[in-house]
Amino acid sequence: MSLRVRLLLTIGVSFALFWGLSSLWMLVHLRTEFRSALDERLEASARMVAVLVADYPKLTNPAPVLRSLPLAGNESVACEIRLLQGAIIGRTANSPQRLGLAPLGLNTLTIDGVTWRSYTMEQNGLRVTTADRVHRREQLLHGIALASFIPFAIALIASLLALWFGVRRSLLPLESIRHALASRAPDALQPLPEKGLPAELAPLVATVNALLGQIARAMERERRFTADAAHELRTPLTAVKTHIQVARMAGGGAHTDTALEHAEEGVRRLHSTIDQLLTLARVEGPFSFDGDEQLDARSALEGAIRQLSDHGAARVKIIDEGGAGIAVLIPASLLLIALRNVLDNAVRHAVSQTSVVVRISQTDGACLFVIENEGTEISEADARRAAQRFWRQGRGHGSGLGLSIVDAIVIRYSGSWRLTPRAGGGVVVSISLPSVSESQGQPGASNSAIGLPKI
Amino acid sequence: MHVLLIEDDELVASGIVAGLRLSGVTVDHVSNASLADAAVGTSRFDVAVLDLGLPDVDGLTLLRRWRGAGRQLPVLILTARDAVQDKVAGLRTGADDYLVKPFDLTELVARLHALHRRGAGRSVDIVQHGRLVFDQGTCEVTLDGKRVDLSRRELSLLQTLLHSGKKILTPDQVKDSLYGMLDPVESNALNVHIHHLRRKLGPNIVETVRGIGYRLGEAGG
Repeated sequence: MSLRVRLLLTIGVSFALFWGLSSLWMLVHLRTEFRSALDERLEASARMVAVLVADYPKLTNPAPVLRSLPLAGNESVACEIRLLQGAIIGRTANSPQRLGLAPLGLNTLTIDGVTWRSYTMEQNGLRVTTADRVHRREQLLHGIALASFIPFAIALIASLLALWFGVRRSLLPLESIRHALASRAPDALQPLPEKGLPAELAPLVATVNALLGQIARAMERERRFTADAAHELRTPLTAVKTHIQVARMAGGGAHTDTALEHAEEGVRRLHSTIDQLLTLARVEGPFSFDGDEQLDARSALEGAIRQLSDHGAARVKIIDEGGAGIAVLIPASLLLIALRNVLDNAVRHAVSQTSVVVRISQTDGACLFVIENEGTEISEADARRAAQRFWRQGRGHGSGLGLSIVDAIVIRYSGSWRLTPRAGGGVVVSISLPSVSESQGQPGASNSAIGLPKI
Repeated sequence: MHVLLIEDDELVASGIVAGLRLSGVTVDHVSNASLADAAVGTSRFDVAVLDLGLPDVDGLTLLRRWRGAGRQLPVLILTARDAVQDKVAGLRTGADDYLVKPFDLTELVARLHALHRRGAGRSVDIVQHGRLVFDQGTCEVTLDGKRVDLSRRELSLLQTLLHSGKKILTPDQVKDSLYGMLDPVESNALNVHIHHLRRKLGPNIVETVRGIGYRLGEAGG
């Protein structure tokens, strides 16, 4: 059921019901009061007649002089005056024969098929009866009831019309929002118009717009990531395909050998990019690393160094500042990936013949790795962009995902890291990870369980 | 045909350069937009192959700048961006063709030839000049129906002359179409190639306009 119909029914039915009941109560009350007023009128008339007749001594004479008083009356009102002995001394022309025999006080009698409401009293030797036709009384009552009902009915209909119009008009903004939502394409995410909305709807539309904005930004991020990923995969694939075609066109010799070497280089790049993409998907996805062992900081670092090329590994120097023995609360496989990616970047961007220095220390129960290289100068803006997916410094030959993976791993295990420009060129990368102290054997800064990322 | 390749990925660029050279195309490679600006400002190119993801300026921005400056050089966009809106944006910005990576080298060469011949107002790869027929697709030259073997430079020289019609070319313009910017050019190299072409296709195939340069002449004796 639509909101408009529900509102109209609820308000309209309640309105009609309450006003109807109130009118009914008024009608019943009016009827009682009206009858009571007419009865009082009968009583007053009888008393007045009795007083008037008492002023005519001749009339009280037992010998009835007049059989009928010239009493004025209409069809609806009757009056009869008798002596207590029974002789009728006067009555109205329409008075039925036995009206004067009615008991004292107020009575409702039917005489000759006509129902009367009568009042009989005895005073000064006279018995006076006054009466109204009940039919006439009811006619008057119906007239009054009708006169009250017609304005009420008109007012009720007018009110219901005003209600319908008011509800329709009040719900117009809601209807326009419904129409705007219904008529847009399924993938349209532009915000709903917020201008001219009533105060009750404005927060709702603002919330919906905020949500639409979030969805649009998320979709844009996904779209850009997909486009970037496609670009990163297509580029080495293009290199492979082109060099294989060149090898075929060259038809042997040095040209072919060079082309095949380049094709292999392309395959290596493609392999590395796919590996990095899969690693990122695993770290960011709902995969568990529960079964992985934990390593102490030095073992992890040495393991990561072993994964570098021989030339790269020889350039890394470890300086223990009291943190080498700390067990790091991160699955070993992910810790190795994070450290290897940072070291790989550090070595690749370092000036040749210089060393990459790694300091391991313990601060506030966390294990701190500080990796420093001497390389080209990097701006603050580039340092902030370093973890952005597919961003590379200058013409770097990496996949552009290495530091994104570091970021994802550190965030997943409630650690922190930052990359800052180093005075004189190069960068300093600080990674703080939750750890267990060798001496304490207790969790340090973070007690998040392995394999259970913070949500 | 002298092609300028603007591509930041060295591995991809080396493959394209090698493939185009093997197809008889003279290629110069630059890796960013500012080097591309410098190249088109100093040398004459027939077609540019443009990658969109350049490290300094986006490829589309470079193209927009060229078109805004009235540069008419035919441009083929070669990119990994395959969305319809990217292709539409590229073509609307002023590109003459759009090819998505990975691609086939033979297709790239065919498209470059198509762009080049369109620039010369032709619609087919086969050029007939009197008794001489030159198929740019297969790089085959026949004189009176007999095949004539030409070296890569001689083919480029013939192609440049055929492309220019009766227009006179200065020696520098001819050299630009034969050699890449970094190719070592000996002082008499051009005369040697002209001499060989005259020997193979008739003494009048290259007319010397004294003090100005060269133009296409009649093929055969």
